[in-house]
Amino acid sequence: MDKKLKIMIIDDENIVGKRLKPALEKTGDYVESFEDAKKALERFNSEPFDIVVTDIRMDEIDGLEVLEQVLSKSNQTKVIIITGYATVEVAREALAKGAFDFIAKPFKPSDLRAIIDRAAKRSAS
Amino acid sequence: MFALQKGDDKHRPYIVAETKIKADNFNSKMGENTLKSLFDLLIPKDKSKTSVNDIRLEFVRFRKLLENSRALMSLMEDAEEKMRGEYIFDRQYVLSLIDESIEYMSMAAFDLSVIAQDASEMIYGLVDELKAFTQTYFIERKKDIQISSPFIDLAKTTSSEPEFVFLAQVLAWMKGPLPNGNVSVTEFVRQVFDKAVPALKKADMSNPSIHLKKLAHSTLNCFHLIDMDEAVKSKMELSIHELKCRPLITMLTSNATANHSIAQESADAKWLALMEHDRLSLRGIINSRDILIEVTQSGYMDADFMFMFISHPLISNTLFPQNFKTLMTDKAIFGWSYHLSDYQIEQSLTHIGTSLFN
Repeated sequence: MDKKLKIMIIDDENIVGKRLKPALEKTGDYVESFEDAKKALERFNSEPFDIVVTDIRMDEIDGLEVLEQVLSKSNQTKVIIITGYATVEVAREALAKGAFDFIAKPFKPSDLRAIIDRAAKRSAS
Repeated sequence: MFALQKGDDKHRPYIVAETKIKADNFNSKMGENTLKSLFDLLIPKDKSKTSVNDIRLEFVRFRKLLENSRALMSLMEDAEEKMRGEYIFDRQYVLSLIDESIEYMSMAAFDLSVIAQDASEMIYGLVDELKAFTQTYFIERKKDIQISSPFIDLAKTTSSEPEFVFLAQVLAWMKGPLPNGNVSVTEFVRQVFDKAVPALKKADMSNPSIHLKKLAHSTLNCFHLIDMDEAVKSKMELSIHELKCRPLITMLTSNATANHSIAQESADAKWLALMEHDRLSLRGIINSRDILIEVTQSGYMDADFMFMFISHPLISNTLFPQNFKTLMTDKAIFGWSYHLSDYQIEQSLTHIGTSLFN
């Protein structure tokens, strides 16, 4: 894929961003990661991203709220939801609200990369 | 006696009258007969049916025990896979591993206590011990896992990430062995099978009250069958060609070269086979050693598995097919293999069948 993507990762578990960021940067995409959803949304408001990958369950602002705010600001952005154990119902709700897709933890970075590539293709078409 | 017709209320008074006559004559011969037939209904004369049903129920319960043990082993394998570093996971994944392990161990404890009632207290005691251990070292200290656990030396990880360290510690708890006599999940599984298999009914072959079909086979004089798919009506002989149980047919018709030492020893063994079309539970006694082989060969890889248990002293290590994982206990060695293709099961059954029966 020629166009380099701007990807935002939001997860209050430090390990997720820490491991995902270098994995996604390998293909040359620009990646920023946040543990605090509020700060992530402030950043997004100042400069939209192509892809937002957000955990569904976070303390202050959950993934569904992130999804709504991101899509209200930029309907071109594709939001991918990370779900935890046994949260299929919430994932379904996220899809109904406009999430592009979801991925369940634990997952391989390559699995997420495949979803991101699909999202990028959809944006381009 | 009464030809009841739909909507025909005229017959109803007659039925009431019949009931009343029986009640009025409760002390008469007729009343005694009625009472006797009621008892006959509640307590069958033919106790052999109860015996076979006991074995059937036990078969189902042991299968549940195998399922729960398999789930525990799968959790362990899953954790090992995550430890290789390819996956992204969080603390919630590790905590759910602990929760699920406790849940499957509780279910396995229930299964065992049905099969071996005298092991009930011991096994529930172990589950409580395991629960208390996880509560102390994992649940209550989850925020602080890196510095407070006694598993620092046991948990093998090169990563300093707290989640990896946490997972490594939980994996150490699952796999064992643990210091200070603490029980690991693996040790729990060992103890479950050490108690369960010897408690399984081997069926007293000389007991004529159990209806068993005797297999007509030139070298196997003590091979008895219970067909789980149909009610056993009478004692009869079957030839191998009349069998419908695929795994047993494969075992008995293998033509590979035999290991004569095992085959000779097992020629005097007593065998009981509980059969379904694609499932087999084969229980044997070879020179006072228990041997158990459980197979599901349905053609669906996710459902199919093999399990084998042989009490000490071990006949031969070569009895276990190469694709088996094995665990040694004080009393026995047992092995299992799952996610097997039809071909792999055929090969394994041929291997075991050749060793035991050829």
